Amino acid sequence: MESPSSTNRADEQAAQWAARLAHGEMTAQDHADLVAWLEADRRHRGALVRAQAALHLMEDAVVRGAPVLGHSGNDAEYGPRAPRRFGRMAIAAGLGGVLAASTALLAVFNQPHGQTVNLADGSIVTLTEGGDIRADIGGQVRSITLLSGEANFKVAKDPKRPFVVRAGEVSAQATGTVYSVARVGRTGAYVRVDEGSVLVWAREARDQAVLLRAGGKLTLEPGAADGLQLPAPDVAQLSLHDDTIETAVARFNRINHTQIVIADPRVGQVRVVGLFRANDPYAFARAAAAVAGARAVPRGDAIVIEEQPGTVKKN
Amino acid sequence: MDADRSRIVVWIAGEILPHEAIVRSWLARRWGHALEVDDVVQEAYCRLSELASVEHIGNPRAYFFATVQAVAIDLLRAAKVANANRMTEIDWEHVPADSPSPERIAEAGQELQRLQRLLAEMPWTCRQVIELRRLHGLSQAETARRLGVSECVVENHIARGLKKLLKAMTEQPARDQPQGEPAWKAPLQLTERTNRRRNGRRGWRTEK
Repeated sequence: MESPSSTNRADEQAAQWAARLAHGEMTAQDHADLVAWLEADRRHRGALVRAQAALHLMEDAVVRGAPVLGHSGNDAEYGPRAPRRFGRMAIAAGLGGVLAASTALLAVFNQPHGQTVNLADGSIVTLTEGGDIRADIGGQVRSITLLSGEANFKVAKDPKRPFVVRAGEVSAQATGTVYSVARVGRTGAYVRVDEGSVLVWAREARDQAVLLRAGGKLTLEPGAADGLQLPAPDVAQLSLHDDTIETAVARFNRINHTQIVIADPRVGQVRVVGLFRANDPYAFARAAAAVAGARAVPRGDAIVIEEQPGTVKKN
Repeated sequence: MDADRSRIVVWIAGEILPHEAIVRSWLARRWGHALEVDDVVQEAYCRLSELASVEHIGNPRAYFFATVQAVAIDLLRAAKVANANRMTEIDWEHVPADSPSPERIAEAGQELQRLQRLLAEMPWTCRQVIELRRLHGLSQAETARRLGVSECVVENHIARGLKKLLKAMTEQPARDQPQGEPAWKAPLQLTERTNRRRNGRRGWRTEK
């Protein structure tokens, strides 16, 4: 009989394969390796289908917005090694739920008065402030162009067909939410999210998109300067969850003129947790330096994170 | 072929996985002394994945129990455990009934709750990847750039969350035992020494 440790290894290998099949890149070599692994033992095939089914549950839970349960009792009842961090997260998520509920209430009372358009996919558009749209509801994507004014969108849930509103050179994408978009200037737009979350980006820079959640507002005017205009500081925050400083610095440097330079490679590997204003790289650099036992020094247009002078290097 | 496979995966996710905990504890009580529970469970999933269709299965929970039962018998026979036949005849009586009694419905509700709890503990990074990929339709490369990580890190966020969930599904907390059942399992040596079935029924003897 196989020892339990080999079974655990089969489960872990199955999880890795399931993750790669759904969210990774399968090379030709990977395909060959997977076939060989599955042929080696029938239990591997069982472990893989179990892992794929569990991954389906995880995706389903996120897509349907499964309730995040608060921790009422002690951590032990959720498993002996549940990290403390999750307790805090659950509380934060619970607060989010309260906020979302109150904004939903507000939306009922602040119902925009205007012309209502029912789209083919079941979404409802309310036009205000001289709003005018053109809708193209396709099989792959639901594409809306805001020609002028403002419109509020109550988007019918359909994760397979993203709902994209283009206003000037700004795009705002959702799958099942309530949000408003208004034209600003010649190319810009204002986006306000009432429910759910919306991805907002300018021009083709979708990889630099900002994720707005319920209550979030953002004005983008890509015509004014080149590159992404920074949204209001209370909206544009970078949240770091156990990321390395190196990764975080790359994200700050992409959106800020002031660049952060890591002079001490050891610092780059230290992990940080927190919520930082996207347009304040200096505050992040100071916090990161403090965590890593280094210091942040402004040098011209850059901020350098370097070793503390006169300290002994930690291992 | 792929569509068939994904249909089976979705069916297993919705109809089988929620019952895994109860099946595992049942397996451990009945045959934990003779078989590795994980082996039985994995082989049972393998057989379920080979089903051509699942539409004819009216009671997936009972079907899961029956599959596990069949796997256990086969494994016992293969291992040439003495008196396997007699033992399995006795144990057939303990296969949970098909009819949905109030206790079973309550039990199934508890099973779902336990799974929901495990899902609610999903690591934040993993949740973020799924949100960007499935809710906002970003490609893997776009997701990686959005999070400022490499594509292989995206895969690993998912893998880590999945491993955590699978592990938690395997390790059953004692308080989740259904009422009226022992929340503990007698140590293996003890049952071997007394050579007696743990539920107090007339015993059988294993040739050593």
